[in-house]
Amino acid sequence: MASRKERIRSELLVLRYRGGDDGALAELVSMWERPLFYYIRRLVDSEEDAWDLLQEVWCRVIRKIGTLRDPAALSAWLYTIARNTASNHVRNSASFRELTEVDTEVNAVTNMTESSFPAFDAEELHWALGRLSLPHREALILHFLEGFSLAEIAAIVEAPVGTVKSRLHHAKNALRTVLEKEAQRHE
Amino acid sequence: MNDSKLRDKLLELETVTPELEAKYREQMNAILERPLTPVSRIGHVVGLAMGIGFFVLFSTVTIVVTWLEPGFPVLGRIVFAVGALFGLAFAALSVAILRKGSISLQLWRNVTLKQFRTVHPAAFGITWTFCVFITVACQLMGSQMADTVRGNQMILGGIVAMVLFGIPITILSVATESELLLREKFLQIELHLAELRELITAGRSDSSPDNVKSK
Repeated sequence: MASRKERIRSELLVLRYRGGDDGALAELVSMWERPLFYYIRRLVDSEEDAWDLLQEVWCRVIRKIGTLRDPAALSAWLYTIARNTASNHVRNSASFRELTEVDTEVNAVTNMTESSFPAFDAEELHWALGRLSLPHREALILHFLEGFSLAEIAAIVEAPVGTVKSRLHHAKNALRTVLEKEAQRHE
Repeated sequence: MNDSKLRDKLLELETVTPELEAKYREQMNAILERPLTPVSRIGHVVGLAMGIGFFVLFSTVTIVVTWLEPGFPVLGRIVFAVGALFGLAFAALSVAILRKGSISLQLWRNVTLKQFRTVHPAAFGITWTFCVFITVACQLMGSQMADTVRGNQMILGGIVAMVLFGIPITILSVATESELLLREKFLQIELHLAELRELITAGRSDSSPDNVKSK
């Protein structure tokens, strides 16, 4: 997840930008473009589309940054914009319909806590993410990349907290399965 | 591996096509361009005039001391020649900015001091390098002079140049950086207080009579 220092720095940059310091925007772009690209790249199939969408995200950010009430919520706000931009792009695709489906197995995972996530190797995780379904992939990226809380992820993906909890639970299981299968293949 | 390191590693693992990234950067540069205001345009015209003035002045002096004053110290000639180059670089930069009509905000990404964001970072860099060069050259020439009075004057001149240009810039920079650090510290304290408040609230709700009864 983004370090506390990065989050505080981002908050300061938003304040500085609002105070008329245009250079702060360039610094914000430089700070967030890589994580946002990683996220968008996992949502769309083509790399070229991912770069175009990232550019569109920044255009929207520049237009709307004045409406961001709480600068501390910048990271969640950026991911919400990135998701909406990517969603508009793939709105009619099957993968998007998959993203908007509501999970019905909420009750089975009500006891899951975020600390129950095991430690993963980055390379394995990066590889395995590409083999998961889009909703699972998205939930895990938001969790692993930025360490968003369930409520924050729910706000970003516009789904109930229970659905997000369920997705994370199933995503974790799916991830473990993928990694175990891969390990068995190598044995 | 902690979460922050995992994040960094994941981001490093993302492979990109250099051509596509270059195209994105080019488009982003266009987005992050700030057109010159009438005031800044006048500033760059003045910069251009100054650059040409410096070039003419220093190159004339360099020619004069090279051809008419054979005994003039070599280091002194170098200083004048560098002065001419400084003027030329400043003029060229002003022409480039005026022709483009805008400045990329990316240039100021790492410039903390807001006051300097009205000056092109390259102009600032050229001026600063020139000041440092003049100061060092004055010190060297002063220490090598046989006439100690003139030598000391040279050294003093170098120190005055440093005091005039370097120290105010450093003080301003430190002051602004300190202000930002102070704000960061306040935000960190705020963060800690918020975490503490959450813990206290969670503790209270756990020990509330309703919860105790249900347990």
